[in-house]
Amino acid sequence: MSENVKLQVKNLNFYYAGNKQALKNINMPVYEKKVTALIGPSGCGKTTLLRCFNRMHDLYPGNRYEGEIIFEGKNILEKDVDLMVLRSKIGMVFQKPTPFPMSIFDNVAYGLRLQGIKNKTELQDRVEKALKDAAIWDEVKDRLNVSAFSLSGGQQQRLCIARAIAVKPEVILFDEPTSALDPISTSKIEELIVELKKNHTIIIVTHNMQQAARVSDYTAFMYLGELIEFDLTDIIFTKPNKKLTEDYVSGKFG
Amino acid sequence: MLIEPRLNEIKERLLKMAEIVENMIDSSIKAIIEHNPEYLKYVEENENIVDQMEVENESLIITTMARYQPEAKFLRMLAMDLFVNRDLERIGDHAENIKEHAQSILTKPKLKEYVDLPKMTELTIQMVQDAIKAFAENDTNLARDVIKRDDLIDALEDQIIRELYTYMVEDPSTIKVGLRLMDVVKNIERVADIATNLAEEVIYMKEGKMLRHQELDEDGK
Repeated sequence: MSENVKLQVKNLNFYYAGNKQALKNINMPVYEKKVTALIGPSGCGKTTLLRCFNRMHDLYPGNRYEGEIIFEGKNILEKDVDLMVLRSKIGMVFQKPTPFPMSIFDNVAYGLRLQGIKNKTELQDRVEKALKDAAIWDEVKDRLNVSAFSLSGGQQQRLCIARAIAVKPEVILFDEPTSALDPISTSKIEELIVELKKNHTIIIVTHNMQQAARVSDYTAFMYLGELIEFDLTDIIFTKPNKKLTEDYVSGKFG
Repeated sequence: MLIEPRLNEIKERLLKMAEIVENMIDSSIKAIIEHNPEYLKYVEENENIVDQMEVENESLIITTMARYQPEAKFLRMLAMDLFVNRDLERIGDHAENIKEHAQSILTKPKLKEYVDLPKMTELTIQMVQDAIKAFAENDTNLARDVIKRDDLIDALEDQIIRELYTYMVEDPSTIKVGLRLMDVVKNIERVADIATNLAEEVIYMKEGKMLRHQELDEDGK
């Protein structure tokens, strides 16, 4: 393929505290400005893998990575990596919308201020752009100073996306971003993800494989901590190579 | 909706394919009417292209079904796209059949000044164009109109074949060409049938009613 590799996972093993192995020898590319979906039954390791990309597991003691994830020529699993910088380049959106207890504006500006941006005009411009790119500007432009909690669930999630993209990450990780939302909000977020990939590399975990089929370019099927198959979404959902993959996507289990 | 750009892409591909196969029919008949083999080149150049397009379109349609789980209107659209894709490839096949007959017919002197054959071809191509237009614009009125014209094509077929019998009986040296021309006419009549099928599929897409193997009443129902 002529696609650029944005992240390369090499021989990745992961152990939760107590030496419980959750990922086994994962090798896979993540292509630039494409959507890569991680699918598989509950407990297969897809969220565990996702959280390796931004070192979220570091938040809890006893977790251990083995192997490499190469990003911009460097292994981001090494101890000397600056996690704040990493997490500004690789952002995350969670399953449950997590707006901060502050205004809509301040939610989006938070990360920018952390980066040291103080200029009011620049902040306003960056916040407006992020809200526009997250397809929520028109709904909130007249009430930016209102609390983020006044928004609906779907709007809060789009606000969280705006917050993530305000700091101009190269990669965005989505962890089941629509499982807490109604079908119409889900549809809007899916369209947004397809739009966002023009400028960002996206990895999405979803237990809804139809969602993976709709939005992703590449799909990784995982089972019991292993990567069973990785290929173009077109292939995974029409003629996968492994029987286990075919059984999963045709609904025989999971 | 995420599926819409894919549906538009499929539609554009089918419209392009339709244009090519219409021109193939037109060229293959022109070669006979004007007794000029130059027109057959277009058919030769596009035979494999049309086959390739059919394969690619089918793959794209099935992948779209797998990826976007369409229901109701979108599912009927994609089902129709599959039918239209096959129908267009069959029209291409008929053009190839006509080309092969033409190659033999053109080795002999022109049988007569053809009057009904160009007329029948013109009406048939118009049916195909209108059926495709009905498909592109979801126009069930136009589709119903196309279906009604099939009887006229059948009548012209009978007329031409009767006339060819007359020639062959009067002058047996024309039998080889006459038989080939009869087959050409049958191929054109089959293309008109395909246009009718296309029109029925348009009505299915919009109204969910399958009209295949049924007669329409005076109101087109």
